[in-house]
Order: sequence, then structure tokens, then C-alpha cells
Amino acid sequence: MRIGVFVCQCGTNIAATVNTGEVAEAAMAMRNVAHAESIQYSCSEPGQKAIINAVHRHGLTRVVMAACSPRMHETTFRRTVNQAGMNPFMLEMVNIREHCSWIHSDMEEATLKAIDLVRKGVARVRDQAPLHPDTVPVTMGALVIGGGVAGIQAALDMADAGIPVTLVERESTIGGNMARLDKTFPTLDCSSCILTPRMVEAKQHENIRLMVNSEVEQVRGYIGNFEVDVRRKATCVNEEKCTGCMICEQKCPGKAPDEFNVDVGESKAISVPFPQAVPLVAKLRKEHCRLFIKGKCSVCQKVCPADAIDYEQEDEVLTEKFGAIIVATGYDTFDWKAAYPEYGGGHYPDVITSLQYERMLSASGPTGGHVKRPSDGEEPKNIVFISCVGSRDPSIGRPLCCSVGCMYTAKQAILTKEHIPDSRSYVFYMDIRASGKGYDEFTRRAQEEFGAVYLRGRVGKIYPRGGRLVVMGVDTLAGEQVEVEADLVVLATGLSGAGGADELARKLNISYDRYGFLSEGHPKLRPVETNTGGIYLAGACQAPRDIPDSVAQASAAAAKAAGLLSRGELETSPMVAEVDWMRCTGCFKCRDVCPYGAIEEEGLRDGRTVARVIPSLCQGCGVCNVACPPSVISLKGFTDNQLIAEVVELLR
Amino acid sequence: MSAYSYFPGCSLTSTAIEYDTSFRLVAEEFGIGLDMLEDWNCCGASPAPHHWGGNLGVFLPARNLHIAGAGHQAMVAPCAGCYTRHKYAQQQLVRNEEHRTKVENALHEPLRYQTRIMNIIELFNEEIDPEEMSRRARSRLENVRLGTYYGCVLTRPAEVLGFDDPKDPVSMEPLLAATGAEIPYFPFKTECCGSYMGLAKKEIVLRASRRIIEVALECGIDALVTACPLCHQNLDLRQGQINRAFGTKYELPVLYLSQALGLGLGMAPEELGIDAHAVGIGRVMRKMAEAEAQESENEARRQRPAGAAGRSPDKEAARQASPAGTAMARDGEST
Repeated sequence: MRIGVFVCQCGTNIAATVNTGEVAEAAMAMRNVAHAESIQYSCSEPGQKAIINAVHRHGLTRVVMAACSPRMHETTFRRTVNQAGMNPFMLEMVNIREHCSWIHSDMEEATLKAIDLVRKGVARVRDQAPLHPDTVPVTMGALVIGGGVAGIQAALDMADAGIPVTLVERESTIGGNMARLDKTFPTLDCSSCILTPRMVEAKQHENIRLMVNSEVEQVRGYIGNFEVDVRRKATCVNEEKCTGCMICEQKCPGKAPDEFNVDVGESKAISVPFPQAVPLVAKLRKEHCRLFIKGKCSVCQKVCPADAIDYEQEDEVLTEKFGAIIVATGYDTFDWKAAYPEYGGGHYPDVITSLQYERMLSASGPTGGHVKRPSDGEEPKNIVFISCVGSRDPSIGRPLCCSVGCMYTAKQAILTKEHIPDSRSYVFYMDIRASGKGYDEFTRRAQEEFGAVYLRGRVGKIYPRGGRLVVMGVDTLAGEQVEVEADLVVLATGLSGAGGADELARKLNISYDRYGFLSEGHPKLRPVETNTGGIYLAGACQAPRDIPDSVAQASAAAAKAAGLLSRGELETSPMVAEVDWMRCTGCFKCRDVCPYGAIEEEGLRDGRTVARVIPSLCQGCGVCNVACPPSVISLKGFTDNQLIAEVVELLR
Repeated sequence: MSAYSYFPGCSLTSTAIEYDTSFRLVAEEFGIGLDMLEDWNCCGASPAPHHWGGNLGVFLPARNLHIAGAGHQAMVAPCAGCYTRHKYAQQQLVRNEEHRTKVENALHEPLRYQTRIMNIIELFNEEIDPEEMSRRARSRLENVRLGTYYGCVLTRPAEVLGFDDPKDPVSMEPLLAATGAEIPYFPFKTECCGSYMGLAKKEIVLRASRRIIEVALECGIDALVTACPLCHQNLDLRQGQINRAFGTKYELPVLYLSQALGLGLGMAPEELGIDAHAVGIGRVMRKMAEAEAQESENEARRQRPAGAAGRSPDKEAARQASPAGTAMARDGEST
């Protein structure tokens, strides 16, 4: 057995804190080590070449790479040793970067720790056996969760590539937040005009199956072969029969909050969210329906010409297999009321959010495109916009930038002038962040062409005066306090991950941050992947972003998913569990604990029934390994002997 | 010996003597025992923390805490300034052993600095059950719109005081609401009154306090309620100066928390020292008289056999017609 140890300097990432030469020298003294050296950048081409040369020159049979996290470069170096003619699994990664140099400052101690870690790796690789990967077929089909613009784009891209797609949306229509917007920056394209054709296309596409009022309930399986339970919630409306004529909505006596219009205006207990909804189908909300509250009504059933109302309808759970999953759950706007008592905390009806204002501006909105103050229905003349409400504010624990507020506020200031020519808009801002194509020009137009008054500073208080609101703030450029009398105040609320995104993330086994945004695999190199293979991210579910970026990311995610599905079959990790059937007692504790259903019964010729691991299903989690009472299950690449050898070396 | 040591500070023995009177009356009503802190000294107020390297602001309260700690678990300081000064000093004493040693060297004994320091709101909220208050107050303040005004130092700095929400305090509300009073939304409840700038630059106080009064009237508030003698001075005593400086005709009563609760409990304004205020409480008294008339009418109705019990429906309707914050009555500027 001839072991080679390569200690990577990673430029100064490792070498600044760990004396890599000393580590290599110490490694030379370890049993079975035939060669050790320090390399500046081992993942680079010359670095990999040096490794291959060393394998040949010294006849190495095993390699220990003391470098970065295996998440980063294990695959790279497996390929390297494979090129040198070795089995790729005869490699052991020792993480002396994330686990050592990056978290320590004392060079002497860090070097000693690195030597310990290397000794551990050498001990482990001694017991390593060559492993050979298996292959599994990939299920041809993708699941897209969330039917906003990102989800629609990803679904269409994949469907166009011939992939069967299921698009799941929890609301009764696709379109997401973009369907709520009036116009889009910086071109002032009508949002509906560019979105609704895409919505229709998604519905009509032969490769797309649309499931609205549906949520992902459970996810099993793994990359290439996910098995997903989707719950389609009862809406009391037969989707096939409903024609979207809205007679039920007109006749319904039960008032209900208008979710689509963000409570600008009121809706009914049975309603179609908006006239361009896709599918154009009504939905009954039991919590507001007189029949379900008081036990008496059923007006909608009587008036429905299509006989589509079914009060007995029940939830359905459908189970289907997919090769890839794209998450496109989007965002929610920040609920500002509790965090900003200085803006009235919801006590003033004329302080509204930008999304509510968007519904007022929209020609198809509840006010028919007329801007009206909620308090008295009058047309406002002085409108104050406040940026960064729930953004860039560490005092409420939200230091993040919403990335779209500056732009949509400029847009709303422009649209305000178009709607009410004798109006005046004031914008309190912190900085104008307009880095996209044509964006800065757009914010300048808001000021120069449309006369919006930009005041750089935050607002400290809003208080009532004679039926109007006084906005008290500071103009930090002029260095003075300012007060603006406003008829209407619009808050540019920040963004968070959509409600429930965290719960979904747990079901998918992907990570998320404190704002409910889902985490990408690597901030630079894996922006649409997650850390779970086969699951990709699209749009604002990952971070606040605008429409062009969401669409671009959706296409990127679709390309990634299509790339996976086009392969037909996948190599599985050979690091799976293995049962020693000679000693297995057939208790099947392993089957009880296996989260992947990878244990089956096998009858032997001697009449015994023992456990067998299905390699294509096993994910190598090691649970059965621990649960096995006679301890006859081992995990390849993680055998008990290897782990014990590591511990022994560490305790030496 | 009673449960609480009472630190009056300079204000409650002089300019805010009515705060002292009303505080004791309400405390007595609910059996809250108060022992005047013996041989107490100045809390340091505004000047001490800014002189002698700031340490005098620690040493002066330290002695008070030491005396209070001899026989009491807690010390109540109704003046917001005194409360803050003692809390600040206590935090410094906990953190800094050097401070402790210095005071101990002066006192010649181990320092007792762990005494709990309470403000009046804290004390009342812990000792008085709102339901009990409601029973005794019999809705005397029904329809009176009280604006809770906290000012600055009752809640700030939050990391020192740890009391209520510094941006949106609400601690005065449960007991005041129990008197039957309405507590409308008042956006200026923590806005600066101008503080001690009255001595150095009076215009600042007049401008700041004016705005508080203006917004209170805008919100249809009948009287402001405060727990700070300096706020009271700026808002009540200087209201005449404000009117002269700006040509306004404001007449907004400003009450101490204990006075407002006292009124709710049926105590006479003179008893509570309200007659010592610069601005009379005519407006509050009128509403109280209305409430009383209503109450006796209800009483009479209850006497009648056919069930006309409960609150009169039109009063209920009136209450619902003016939800907090939306009523923006302009009748504030009386003539």
C-alpha cells in the first residue's frame, strides 16, 4: 500500500494560516505514506498534473487530499486520480480550509490541527476499498412549484424542450405577484399585456399539466426519481365544468377580503380572482361562505348555469414521479404594521403599501385605474412615497435591500403624474439603487420629466392634520427637517420569501434563510441549484429580484433541469449500505428506520429471510447502520473500521 | 414595613407636589404600602451624569439604592427622570466593580445596589388588577378620550430600562381603559416635549410641545396623561407661553397618570391637586358629568322591572362610530 498526501496551499487561503510544507513533512512520517508534497493550487491544471505525475512516479495506490471541503472539489480530485489510473474512490478529502485555516488565526496551532486531520485521513484511506457506481434510470418529467412569472417561464422552457411538466400553484390562478402589477419598469410595458399571454400558453401547452389550488404535501426519493404527493384543495367548484362566467360572484351575498387586490376593495365568498385569471375558474372560500358559517345559503349553486358548484367536494392527493423539481414560490411583501408604529402602524387608512397602490393604478383593478384615497374616496394631489420600509433597516432586524423598491417607486411616481396631472409626488429615499439596463435613466426621468421631488432621508413620523397626513422626515442633503402634507402615503415595503416557503424547504430538504428565501448551492457558481441534487430555484424565492432577473433565472433553472433529464440515467453513489447476509438475523429494524424504502426482504435457500439493500434507492445516510442490532450492516466508504481508525488517530 | 420604598425626588416635593399627592391617594386606595425613603438625595438629574466624568450620575443614585435596600426589595420612583437615573446607575454598578468599590469606600459598608427600581406604571400594573379598577371606577371616565403620553426617558434607552416598547409603548393603557376612558391612537406618544431646553432655549420647548398639543387635539383627545414631571411642566405650565408665542388658543388638560386614575376612582380634582395645574379640566369634567347622568339614568332603568338592563344602545353606537385614530375632531381649540 502506497499512500500519497497532497497538501494544498489554496493560494493564501490555507497557506496563510497553515504551514503546508510542515504538514507534508509530517505526513511523510506516517505509516504507508510513500509521498507527500505541498501544492499551490491543486485544483488547477498544473496542480492536477502534479498529482497524476506523482501517482505514476511513486506508484501510489491511495491519495489523501488535504485541501478544501469535499463539497467543493471532491468530484474534481476523484476525476484526477481516475485519470492517473486509480479507482476514483481511493481518494480521501481532508478539509483543512473551512475546518481549519479559515476559522483559526494562530499558525502554529492551526498547523498542528491540520497534521492531526491529515493523520486521520491517512488512517481512513488505508481501509478504503475500490468502489464502483451503479446507474439508475431518470424519470422523464419535471415538477414546477409556484406559478408566478418565474414558474411559468421555467415550465414553458422545459415543455418546449419536450419535457412533461406539472405546474403546481396554491392559488386558484397562475400569474403570481406580477399579475397584480400595473406597469413594469423601465419600459412601462403593461404587466398584464406581457404576462397573460404566457399564462394562457402555459395552460394550453401540450406538455404542461396545470394544477391550481394545490400544494406539495410530501416529497420522497432523490435526484432523478422524486415521488411527490400533491394535495389539490377542495374549492367547491368543479374546475372542468366552471366557465368563469362570474354569475356566482355577482349573486353571492357573502362578503370576503380581497386577497388578489391586497384588500383594496372587497370580494365575495365565491369569486374569480381577476378577469384574466388562468384557469378562469371560481373558488369558494368556506371560511367566508354563509352556507358553511350559518348553514343556509347555496345561492351560487342555484345560479350557476354550468352546474359546477359542488359543496361536497373533497381534497384530493395525487402522487406522481418526477426527475427534477424547480421551486419558484416567489415572495411576499413585508408586513410593516408592527415594525413601524411611526408610520401609524395601520391606524391611518391613507397610508398604504406599494402593492395596494399598484392595484389602484391598474385599469383592471378595483378602482378601475382611478387613484382614490381609502379614507374618503377623493383623488389625492400630494402623494408621498417612502422607500425602504422593512429594507436596509437593521433596527428592525432587516438589513437586506429589496432590490426593486427604488425602481417601482420611480415607476409609481411617473404613473401618478400620468393619472393625476396636477399631482405632486415626493419620494423619501436612502440611496437610489438603479443598476439595471436603462434603470438609472428611468429614475432620472421620474424626477426631471415627471417632476417627482426626491428627498434623501428617512421619515420619522406621520401624523394627522385636518384630514391630511403630515409626513415628518429629514432631508439629509439640505441638512434640515422637512414636513410634507400628504393626501396619500405609499410605503415601499420590502420583500420576504413567500409565506410557507420555509415549510416547503423542509419538505424538500433544502436550506433557507431568516427571511424565508431559499438558499442556492453556491452564491457564484451554482446560483440556480440547491444543495439537494435535482432541485433547482427560479425567481424571487431565492432572493429579492425583478422580473427580467426572475425570468433569466427561470430559464437557467429550466436548462439545468433539462440537462439532468436528458441524460436518461444517472450514476448513483456507490457509498451505500451493505448487509452481511451470513450474519443478518432478519429483524428488519433497518427497514423500519430507512427513510428511502431501500431495504427489501430476500429469501435464502437455507430458508432464512434476510435484509437486502436496494443500491439504487439507498442514499448512504447510515441510519440502518446504527440501528442494526447485530451490527451487520456497513456503509461502503464509511465502514466501522474506517471510522474507528480515524477516532483512534485523533485520540493518539 | 410596607412593600415599597418611595423615592419622590425633587419634583414630587416641589413643582409636582400634586403628583405626589395623587400617587399616594391611589396607592392607598389599593392598599399599596409606601415608605418614604429616609435621608434620600438627588438622583443626579440631567447635570450629574455630564459632570465629574459622568460618574457622579452613578454615585448619587447608588446611595439611594443602598438605603432603600436596607428594608425593601423594590423602590418606586414616579418621576421618569429619577427612574431612569437610578436604572442607569444600577446598570453601571453591576458592570463596573470599580464604581462599587468607590461607593463602598465612601459608605464604609458593603453596597446594596440590587434593589429593584420601578416606575409608577410598572408599580400600578403589578399591584392593581384592571378588573378591580373597572369595578371601582364604574365607567366614570366613559367617553373621555385620554391620550397616553410617555415622552422619552420612561422607555429609553431601551437597553438600560427594558420597559415597554420604546417605539410604541402601551403600558398605561390597561388601567386607564379600565376607568372607562377611551384611548385613541396618538402618534406623538413618544415625541420629544423639548425636555430641559426650557432653560437654555425656550423656543425649542415651545415648538416641540406645541406640536404634541396640536396633534393631540387633532386626534380628538380630551386630556393627555403623563408620568413625567418635566413633560407635564412643558405641556401644561408652558401652554400659556405656547399660546402667546404662536397665537393659538389651546386648552388641553395634562394629567399625571395617578390623577387620571384618581378621577376614575371618584376622587375630587382638588383632592388630586388638579386645581394646581395651569390648564383647567373643564372639558374632562363635562364629559364625566354626562357619563354620570347617563349612569343614573341607566340605574333608574334598571330599577324598572321590564328588562332594560345593560348599556344603552345609542351609547354603544356612539362608541363604535368613533374608532381609535379615525376621529379627527377640530373642536380642540376652544374659545
